Amino acid sequence: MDIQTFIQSGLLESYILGQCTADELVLVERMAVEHPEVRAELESIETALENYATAQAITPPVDLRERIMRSIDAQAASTIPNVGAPVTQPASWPPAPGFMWLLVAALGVLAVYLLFKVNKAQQENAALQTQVATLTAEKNDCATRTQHNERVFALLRDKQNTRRIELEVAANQKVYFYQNTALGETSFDGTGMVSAPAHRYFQLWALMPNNQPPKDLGMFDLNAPEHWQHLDHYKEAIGFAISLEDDPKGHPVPTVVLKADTKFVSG
Amino acid sequence: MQDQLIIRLQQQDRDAISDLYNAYSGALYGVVLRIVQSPEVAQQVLQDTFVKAWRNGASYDAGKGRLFTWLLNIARNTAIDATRTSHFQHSKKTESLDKVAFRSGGEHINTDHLGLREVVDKLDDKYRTLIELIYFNGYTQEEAAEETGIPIGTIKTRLRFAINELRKTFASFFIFTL
Repeated sequence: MDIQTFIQSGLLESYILGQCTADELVLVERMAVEHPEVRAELESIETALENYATAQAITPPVDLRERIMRSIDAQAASTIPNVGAPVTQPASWPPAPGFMWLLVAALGVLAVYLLFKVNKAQQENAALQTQVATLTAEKNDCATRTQHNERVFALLRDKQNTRRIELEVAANQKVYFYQNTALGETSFDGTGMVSAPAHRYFQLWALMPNNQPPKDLGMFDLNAPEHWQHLDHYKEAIGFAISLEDDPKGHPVPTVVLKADTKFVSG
Repeated sequence: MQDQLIIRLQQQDRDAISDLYNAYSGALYGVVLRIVQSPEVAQQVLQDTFVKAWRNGASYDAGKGRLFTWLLNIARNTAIDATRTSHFQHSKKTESLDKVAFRSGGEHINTDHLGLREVVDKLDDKYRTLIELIYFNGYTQEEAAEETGIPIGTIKTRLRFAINELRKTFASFFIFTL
């Protein structure tokens, strides 16, 4: 490049103001070493700006010098001086190009490492979230089971208010309806339930007084925990029945009554 | 004389800092105060600047630039860092050009430098404003282009021209006063 063109490019001003890129820095310093006129131009620009700053100087408060010297003395007392040792250039001074490349390479390695760590952390996070979801579901299930069991125990322990009706659905196969008006609970213990004929389903009923139609208590649930079902409570119910239906959702009125009874016994 | 000062600075001689303070504290304080706009922050910045100069004196390379330029770059970067960490708003930095130009005729100028001050005031406003923005307000040339709406190429040309004008005016001032 022509020296005058280089001098007039504005690059020297950028260099003095510390606004060069790493490549520009190398170029300016090389040109300054190789061409005395570039060196002279740099000095001329520096002097002009120094004069400009000096022209607009403002005297600091008189005690500032003392504060600075105290600060230096305090640091000198607590640190080993850097004399003779290689010293990192201050942030304000353009770093050497070799250092820049080293820095870029180090940052690159750091970026790859961080990317790897972030990916790994994301995978671990996803696995943990799945685990948390599973544990939460299990916890909710346990809570539901506990609540179910507490209701069963409360009903069975209340000998004074709990009464039951026993229905023999087959030879030596008994099921029980429990009723407790104090607790407002009606339950069905289907442990002794027999299998329904093909395409037939058991429906549970509460028998009502004064020739009212029976109340639907829902279908027998094979999958109920411990075959124990909590049913709708009708405190006026005078007995319970089981019907056989051809619709898995049941009927509004019993189709074929399998068993029915109104004889309650205690607990 | 300055060679001796540089050697002492490189040897971490605390008295070298005292001499540097005598020579440059006013010029540096003027620049820093314009950037941070707060005497308290400016004084802290100047303190940090001289402490950094003392700690890193061994790294100063006279072959790469003048002592004042080295110190100024430390001071300016410390000041810009201070504006970023002291809850300074960018709006504070991007004051209108009118205010920047007006402030260049500030009221705290050292009486010692009044002669030079008049020389500076003779500069065309558009050049002075540009030097103020980049030299005193910590703008990069790209930021100055964005702030002024002037293309970056023109900014570079004008900055070059502005510094040339400075060189001429200072040269004639020094010849006149000698």
